Amino acid sequence: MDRSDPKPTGWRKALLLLRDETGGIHPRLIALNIAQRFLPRHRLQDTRASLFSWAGFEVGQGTRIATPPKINGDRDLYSKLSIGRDCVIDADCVLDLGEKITLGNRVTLSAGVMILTSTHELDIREHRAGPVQFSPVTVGDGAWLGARCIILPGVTIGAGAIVNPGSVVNKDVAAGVRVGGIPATQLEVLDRATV
Amino acid sequence: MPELVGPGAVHKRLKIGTYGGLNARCYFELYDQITIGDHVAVGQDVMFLTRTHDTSDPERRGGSASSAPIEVGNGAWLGARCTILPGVKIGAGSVIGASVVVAKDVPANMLVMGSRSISLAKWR
Repeated sequence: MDRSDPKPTGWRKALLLLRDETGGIHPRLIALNIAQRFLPRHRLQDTRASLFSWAGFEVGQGTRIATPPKINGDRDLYSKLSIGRDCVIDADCVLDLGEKITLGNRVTLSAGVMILTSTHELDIREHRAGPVQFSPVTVGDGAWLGARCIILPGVTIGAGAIVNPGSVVNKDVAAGVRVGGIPATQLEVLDRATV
Repeated sequence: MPELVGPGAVHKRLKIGTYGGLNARCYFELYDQITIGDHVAVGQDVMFLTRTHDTSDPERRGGSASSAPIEVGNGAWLGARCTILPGVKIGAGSVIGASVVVAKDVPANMLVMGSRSISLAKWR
């Protein structure tokens, strides 16, 4: 939003408000969430992945989703998630689809992983969380994100990397290394990933 | 309601002692035995994970799964949003702060807090 714009008034304000309020409503996502309620958690993992691909998300073959991940985002939601082949998504993950999230092939997301793509511009003292900014997240082939780790917007995780449980990743992670901690730092170089 | 996850008869792999308390939304991954002693308080959103992966294959770091048991000693107190990783033993009378990821064994009567899960103090 351009902050120098004069405040909209009248019907334009109403239209903007309506757009803002309904931007995150996705009938197919609602249908998907209702359908998933009938699937027992941690069971029928392949079926759940098929439901995701029927809803319009790009989900590769052999991917397993243990429980419905929390998904939120505005326009073009369905093109903003791309999951490769043979991935595993464990319980209670959060995928914030403000921008594109790309998971490569054979990626493992453990329980409670949170991938964020929206943040705020730093604003004045009276209102620090300024206009919302989006940046994409990419996870390379074969990476393993440990339980409850948080991936911040704009981060790229290299192929064959491991993110330790509970860490917060705010910078790019090279291929074939293990990172951990808050914020995540490189802990060891694993044997070379064959990229 | 705590969530119990795992293959087969999960209830047989969870043992909780007397006079304990589980707060809301605890998560027990029961691929292996989880033993919780007497007088243990478990905070909200605590996650007990018993499954880990073989990481030797660079093509797939989350490789074949293996499991290890978790033990929590008598009188321990686990703060909200703790994550207990596979194979961890938490000693009797230890206190784990909120949001700590416990990756290593904790001796008895320790206070563990902070992001690097270092023990801060020994109590009595």
